[in-house]
Amino acid sequence: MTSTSMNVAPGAKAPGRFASAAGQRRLVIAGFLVVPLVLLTLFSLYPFVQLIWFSLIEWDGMSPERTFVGLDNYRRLLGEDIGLLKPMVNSLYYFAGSVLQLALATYFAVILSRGLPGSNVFRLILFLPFVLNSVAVSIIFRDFLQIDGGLDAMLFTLGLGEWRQEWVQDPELVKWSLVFASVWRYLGFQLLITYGALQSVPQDQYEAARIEGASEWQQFRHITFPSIRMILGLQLILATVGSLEVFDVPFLITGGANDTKTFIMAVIEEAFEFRRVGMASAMSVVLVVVVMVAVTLQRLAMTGGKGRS
Amino acid sequence: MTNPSTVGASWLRPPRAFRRLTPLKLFWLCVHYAALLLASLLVISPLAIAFITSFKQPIEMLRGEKTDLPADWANLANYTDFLTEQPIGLAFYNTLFVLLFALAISVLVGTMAAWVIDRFRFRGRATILTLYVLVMAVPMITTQVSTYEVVQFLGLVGSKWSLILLYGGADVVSLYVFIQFCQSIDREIDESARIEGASYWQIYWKVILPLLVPAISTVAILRTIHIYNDFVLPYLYTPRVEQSTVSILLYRSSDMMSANSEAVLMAGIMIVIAPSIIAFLLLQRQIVSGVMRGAVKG
Repeated sequence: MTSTSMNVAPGAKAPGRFASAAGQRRLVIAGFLVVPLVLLTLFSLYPFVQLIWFSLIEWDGMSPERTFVGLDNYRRLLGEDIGLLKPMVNSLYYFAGSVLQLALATYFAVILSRGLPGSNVFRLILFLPFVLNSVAVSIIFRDFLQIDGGLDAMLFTLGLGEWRQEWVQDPELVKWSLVFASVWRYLGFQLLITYGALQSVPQDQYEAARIEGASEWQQFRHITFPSIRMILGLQLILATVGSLEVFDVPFLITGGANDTKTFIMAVIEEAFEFRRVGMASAMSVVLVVVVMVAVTLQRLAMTGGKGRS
Repeated sequence: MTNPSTVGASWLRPPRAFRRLTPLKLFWLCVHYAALLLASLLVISPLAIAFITSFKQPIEMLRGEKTDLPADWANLANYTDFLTEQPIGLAFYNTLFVLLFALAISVLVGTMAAWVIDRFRFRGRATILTLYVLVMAVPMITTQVSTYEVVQFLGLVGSKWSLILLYGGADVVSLYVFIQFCQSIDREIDESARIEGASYWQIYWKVILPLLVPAISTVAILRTIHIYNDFVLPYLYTPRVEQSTVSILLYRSSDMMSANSEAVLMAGIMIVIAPSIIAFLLLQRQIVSGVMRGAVKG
């Protein structure tokens, strides 16, 4: 294929300005990188730098009047406006949920990779929520969890009428309901990643372990777990970052009512509703710092624990 | 399937999990199946209830339980109501428009940058790589307050081009998938094409790009799932239905509709998720392997 399409006679092209190899090389490097770098600068690098600048000013986002206030936004955020940071506490629920989700995903991945009959069907069913539109899913859950909604009706039909709850009205329960919606959505995704990692564990190790009479738990503990430790660690890091960035599902289900506001919701509200761009930017910077610290700590814990990076 | 000893004539034998069953193993097998069935039930039931609700008539919505099956499965009134009341054609058109342009940008820009970064050693290469790593570390959603000003400066707030540029242009994960994949392509392929007199552009376009097709399909699958389902960016940048995606259409209609048109809303939801479910069932093999590959590499 290459030989036919590539048969360009060396002298066939007119010797232009960039005919020399070095010139052509320079042209292709510059030409291929200019668009990616412009996009990177415009939508990632510059916004990040500008965010830090915004966090030092007071601005309503529209008027030409921007007042430089130095670290005042941060001082207020840690002082009288500490309440603005409070939604970050809600991330702990999502973090707890994502640890549970990782454990469940690993459990399901391990038992599905043993080739139980029907495992393909189960894998598909559990993964399905990940490919669905988040607004659609959230509205479905909003209906499912309301009083006398789908969940209550199901419990009643199954003879578990006693278990019916105010899933989104109860101030404590609502947080776990939202965590459930989030686990529902992402469990299958994590399952697939772990399942993929399990495929690379050599089967003969299990064979040998079985001959020596190792129990299933021992096989998991000594063969499976060490081989997927890295992937699980990475997933834990992603889960941590994810639990600090939750937005759409709680926003669409409760709108932040009943103390379910997440930090991203608070930032967006501060910037686009209350039009305090400076404060919203300071909050964003705090979030970036928290994310970085959490990721670094977990990286250290992973590499420091034992084994290689 | 994964065990070579089960291949061949042995298909008549029971699956590996069922062989040499001791009572204890049987017990655990039951536990595993119970867990899988429970999880599947929990996954399916919200969707199933939404599905049956979409066929219900107003009187059923008032009286019956949510789990009751619809009296008339052929009742498509909710579907026709949603289709006539909501500009769903426009929303699908916008979504497809955003999706195709964003994918084109992601793939072209990503493969070009990945190929140059992987194959050439040039001044500034290390800096560029560092910048990409830095950007990866800062989650995109955290900088939206500031990105919004950039989009506003470009005059694109409210236009679907803002979505195209943000989905297509600020997509660093895809670049990583492409770089990883480029590394696995033998450099000698480039060199022999070069000796045969191909220009760099021809090498990229006729040699490298076709070899990157598996990576491109991985990226296309992951990005399609994300773009079709995302809510945050359309909510911030294209709040009006005229320029926006199906996410905003559903969001707006759930706001507008009163409680007694819940069944109509469910019909709309079914219309929006039907393409995803159909594509998922048709392309399950590609999607599953694409997600596993992309996630492990990215």
